[in-house]
Amino acid sequence: MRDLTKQKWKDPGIVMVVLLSLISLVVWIWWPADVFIGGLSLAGWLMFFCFFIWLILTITYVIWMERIEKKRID
Amino acid sequence: MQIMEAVILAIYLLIMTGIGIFFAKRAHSSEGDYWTAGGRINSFVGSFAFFAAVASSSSLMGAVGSGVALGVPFLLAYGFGAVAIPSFAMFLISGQIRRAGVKTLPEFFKNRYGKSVQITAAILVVLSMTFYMIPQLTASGLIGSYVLGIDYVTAVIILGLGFTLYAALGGMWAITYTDLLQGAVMVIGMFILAILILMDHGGVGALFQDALSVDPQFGSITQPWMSYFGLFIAFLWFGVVSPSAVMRNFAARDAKTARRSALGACILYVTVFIFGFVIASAGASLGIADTLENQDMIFISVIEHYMPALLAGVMLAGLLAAIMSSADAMLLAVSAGIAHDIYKEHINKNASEKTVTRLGLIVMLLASVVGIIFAVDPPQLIAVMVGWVSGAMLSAFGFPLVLGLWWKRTNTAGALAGMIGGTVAFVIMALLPSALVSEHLISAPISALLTIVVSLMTAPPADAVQKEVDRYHANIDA
Repeated sequence: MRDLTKQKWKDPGIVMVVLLSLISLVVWIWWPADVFIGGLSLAGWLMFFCFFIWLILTITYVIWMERIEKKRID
Repeated sequence: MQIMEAVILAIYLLIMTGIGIFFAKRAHSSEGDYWTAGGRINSFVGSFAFFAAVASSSSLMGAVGSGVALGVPFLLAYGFGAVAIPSFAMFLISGQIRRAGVKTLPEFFKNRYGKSVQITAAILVVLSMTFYMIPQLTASGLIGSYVLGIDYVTAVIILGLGFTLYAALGGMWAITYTDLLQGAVMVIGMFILAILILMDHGGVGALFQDALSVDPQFGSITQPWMSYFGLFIAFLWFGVVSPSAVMRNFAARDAKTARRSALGACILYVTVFIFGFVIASAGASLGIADTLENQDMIFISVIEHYMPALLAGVMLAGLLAAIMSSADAMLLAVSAGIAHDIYKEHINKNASEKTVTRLGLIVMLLASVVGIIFAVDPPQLIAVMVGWVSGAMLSAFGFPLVLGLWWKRTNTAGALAGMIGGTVAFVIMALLPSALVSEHLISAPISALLTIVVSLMTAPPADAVQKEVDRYHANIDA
C-alpha cells in the first residue's frame, strides 16, 4: 500500500500539478502590480508568460505519458 | 438590421441545424451515443470539441469586455487560469476518471460514494448548469439584437429556444462535430480580426500605446488582488469541476487521444487569448466603452469597426457558434443530470432508452426557459457570471471529486459534508459584500476541510471501494 502511495506522488499528473502550483504561487506572492513595462503592469506580463509555460508543461506531460505507455508495451 | 451579417448568420445556423439533423439518427440509436458520442472521437476533432465546449462566449466576448472595462490585466488573469483548463484537468483527473468507466459526473459519485451523493451532485449539476446558461444567453442576445435589429429580450428568447432545438436533435454527436467547425471559425475569425487591427494601428506596441492614450489605466491592476486570484482559481479548476468539460473527456476514443485532445485545446486557448489581448486593446483605443449600455458589447463594436461586413458576418457567426456549443454542452449536462442520473437511476429503472432521451429533451427546454428568464436582465459582466458559476462548482464538487479519486479514505459522509457545506458557504459568501469573483476562495477550502475532517471522523469506505480507488491508479490503458 505504501508503494501505491509513493507511486501516486510520482504520477506525471501530480508532478505537473505541483509544478503548475509552484509557478503560479511565485506570481501571486510576488504580484508586482506597481512596476510597469511598456505601459503594462509587470503582474500582467508574468500572467501572460505563464500561458506559454502551461503549454510547455502540457507538451511535457503528453510526451512523458506516451513514453511510459511505450515502455510498458515493450 | 445589418443585412449582410444577418444573411451569413442565417446560412451558418442552417448548416449547423443540418449537421444536427444528420447526426440525429445516429445519436438516438443508443444512449451511449447520445451522451458521449459513443466514445469514438479522434484527437483532432477532440481538440476543437474540448476547446469549443469550454471556451464559451465568455472566453471571447466576456474576456474582451472585462479587459476593456477593468483593465487588460483582468483579461490576462482570466487567461492565466483558462489556458491551463484542459491541462490541469488532464493532470489531475482525466486518466483516473476514464478508468472509473462512468458516463457523467454524478455517475462517478454514485460508484464512489453511493446514491445520496449522486442525487445531491445531480441536483447541483442541474442548478449550476442552468445558471451557466445566463451568460451564454446574454451574449447571444447582444449579438442577435445587434445583427437582427430586434430588441435584446426578443433576441434572447429566439436564440435560446433555437439552441435547445438544436442540442435536443443530435446529442453529443451533433455537438462534437459542429464544435470542430465552430472552434475553427472562432480561432480563424479572431486571427483575421487581430491581423486587421494590427495592420490598422501599425503593430502591437503602437496599438497598446493608442489604448493607453485613451484609457491610461488600461495596463494597470484596477481591482483588489483577491479578484485576480479568485478569477485564476475559478478558471484553473473549471475543466475539473464542469460537467460539460468532464463529458468531453469521455467522448475521446482512448487515453492517448484524450491527452492529445487536451494538448490541442491548450494550444487553441493560448492563441485565442493572444488574439483577445489585441482585440481588447483595440476596444480600449476606440474610447466608446463608457457609452455602451452593456460593456460586453465592446467585442461586437471592434468587429464592426475593423472588419468589412462580409467578414464581420462570419465573425459574429463564429461568436454565436461558440456560445451555441457551450450552451448545448451545458443543456446536455442538465438533461443527463435529470434524465439519466435521477430518473433512470432512481425513479424508473426499467425506462426505455427512448423514454430517457425524450425526458432529456423536455428537461433541456425547461432549463433554457429558466436561463432565458434570468438573462433578460443580466446581473453582471459575462466574465464575472462565468467566474461565479465556476467558483460555485469548485466549492461543491472540486474536493469530493479530486479526493475521491486520489484518497481512498474519503467516504460518503465526508463527500456529502464537503458538497453541501461548500455550496452553502458559497451562497453565504455571495450574499456578503466581497471583491469580485472571490467567494470561492473561502468556500472551496471549507469544502476541502469538511470532506477531509468528516471522512476521518467516520468509518472508512468498504474494502471493495478502496480497492476500486487503487484501480484508478493502476498502470492500465483506459
